[in-house]
Amino acid sequence: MAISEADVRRVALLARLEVTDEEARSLAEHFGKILEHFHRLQELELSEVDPFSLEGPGTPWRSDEAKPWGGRDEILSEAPRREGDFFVVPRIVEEE
Amino acid sequence: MPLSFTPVIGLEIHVQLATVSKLFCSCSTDYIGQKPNTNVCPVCLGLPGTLPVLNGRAVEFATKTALALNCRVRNRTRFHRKNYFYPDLPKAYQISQYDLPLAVGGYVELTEADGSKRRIGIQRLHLEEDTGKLVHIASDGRLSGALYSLVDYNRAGIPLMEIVSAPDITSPAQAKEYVARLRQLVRYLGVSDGDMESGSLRVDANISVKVSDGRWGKKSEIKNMNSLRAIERALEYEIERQSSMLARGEEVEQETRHWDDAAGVTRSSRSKEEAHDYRYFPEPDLLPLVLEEGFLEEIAESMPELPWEVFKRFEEVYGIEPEDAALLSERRDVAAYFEACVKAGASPDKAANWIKTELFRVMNECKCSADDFPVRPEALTELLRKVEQGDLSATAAKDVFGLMAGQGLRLDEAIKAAGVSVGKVSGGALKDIIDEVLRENAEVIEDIKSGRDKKGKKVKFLQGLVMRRTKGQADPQEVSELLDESLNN
Repeated sequence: MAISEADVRRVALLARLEVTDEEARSLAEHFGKILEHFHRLQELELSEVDPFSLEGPGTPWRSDEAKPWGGRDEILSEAPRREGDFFVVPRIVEEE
Repeated sequence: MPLSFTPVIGLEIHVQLATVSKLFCSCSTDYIGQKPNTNVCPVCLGLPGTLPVLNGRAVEFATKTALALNCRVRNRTRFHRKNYFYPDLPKAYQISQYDLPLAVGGYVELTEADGSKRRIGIQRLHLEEDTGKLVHIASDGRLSGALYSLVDYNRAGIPLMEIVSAPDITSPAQAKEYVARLRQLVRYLGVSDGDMESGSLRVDANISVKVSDGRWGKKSEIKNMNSLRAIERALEYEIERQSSMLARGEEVEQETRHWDDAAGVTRSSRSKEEAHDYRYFPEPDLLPLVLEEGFLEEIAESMPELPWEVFKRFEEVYGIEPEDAALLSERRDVAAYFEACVKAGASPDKAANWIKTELFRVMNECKCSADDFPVRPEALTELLRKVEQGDLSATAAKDVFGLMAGQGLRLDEAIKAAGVSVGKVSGGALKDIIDEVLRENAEVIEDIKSGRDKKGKKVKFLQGLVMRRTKGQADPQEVSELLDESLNN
């Protein structure tokens, strides 16, 4: 299965990863091999099989009770940047 | 032939569910006015090694709404991850529903201005988690060119119910009506406070315009409409914008636009074109969402009377005019108040009149609900009875009602405090008051007697003075007769 370097760059962008030209070339080849491997599943006769089973037990439900968690200061202090009670992130609004 | 333009509108509504804890963790949902990042825990902050546990109440609320909207509720559905990088979601994905929403295929029935009915389809209703809130900091305080952003995750993980309409809406007024009905419904069901201003109920609109020559413009997605009025205005603006572009032979671009309420325009949100690919996949941390038959039966049984059913009943059983029936059934607390008055013996018409004027006026002032309104339905009924028996004039009754509502007085105390004696002022007592008024207004009498009051305005003025002095407890007919008598002597 042919994966282009453009495909690799797109996936990298979605995952917010930087790739060099050299990495893009080698990853394209790598991805191709992985997909080829999974492509072999097409050989199986699966027309009768539900692609994702909804059988079996359901996810458990909890009752609607609020319980405060005591560790927020600890988490805030672990943040790379904070301002008072806020987490600080790089600017995310684009220029007009 | 001139071209005609038909808008095609679909609405996506996000409703915050009135649970006390978040959708997948036990953090409180009470976030308005709270210190930032206090209602947070490792689950809603997306720390590694944590697992979501579903809030059953949220499922209950969504299911209840779905059934009220005539949807088909599925017994087995699942959650998906919607992946995107934006700091309002600490996990870098939102747990939502995708190919198998909780419910599909319902409708809401709207009543048009001319009384005809129109059904707006509901395509789907699903559960998902709310995002955190961002505050953008710029050197000059503007949004654009922000230096950095502050994040508060108190709202992240609050249960949302997303309700997607079919593109069945054909006018801004209809869109407004549709949202008003949904808001009314969630309030009746008690599943949300439905407050648009604070963001408990958020509406996005997809709107495109069809041209009579067969062209069909691309759709715009309109955001940031924070009131019913804003929805109507934004859509009116957008129809005009798209229609005039199409009339000029231009193409309408598919884009997201923000409504600027102050300026009265929609503006393109020029976020940099980025790869948009949510890469949905089934949430591996949660098993399927299974609704047992017993659960569905319980929800159906616990369903209160729906607002449109109440409306119909008020019209049919009590003979209330449609406009009044709409006012009285708008809120569940008011509807219950009205019915309690009727049950206590008030005539439906009189109770309706009194509620839509006096009760609404005081409720607006005190911002209180009819459930805890100081004048209970039984007391109002008793007051109405006194008016009907002629013990109190309508004007005096309003004063009495004001005192009961404002100072929490009982009916008898309020009558005393208002200085109105129960029973009309008439006969000799009324004659005395008239004489008093005439003595004090000798020059007016002069004008009348000398024929300068051709339109009878001065006589009306004197009648008014007499009525005021009797605190409205005299019969206007009798006042008029006795006054004429005195003036002609």
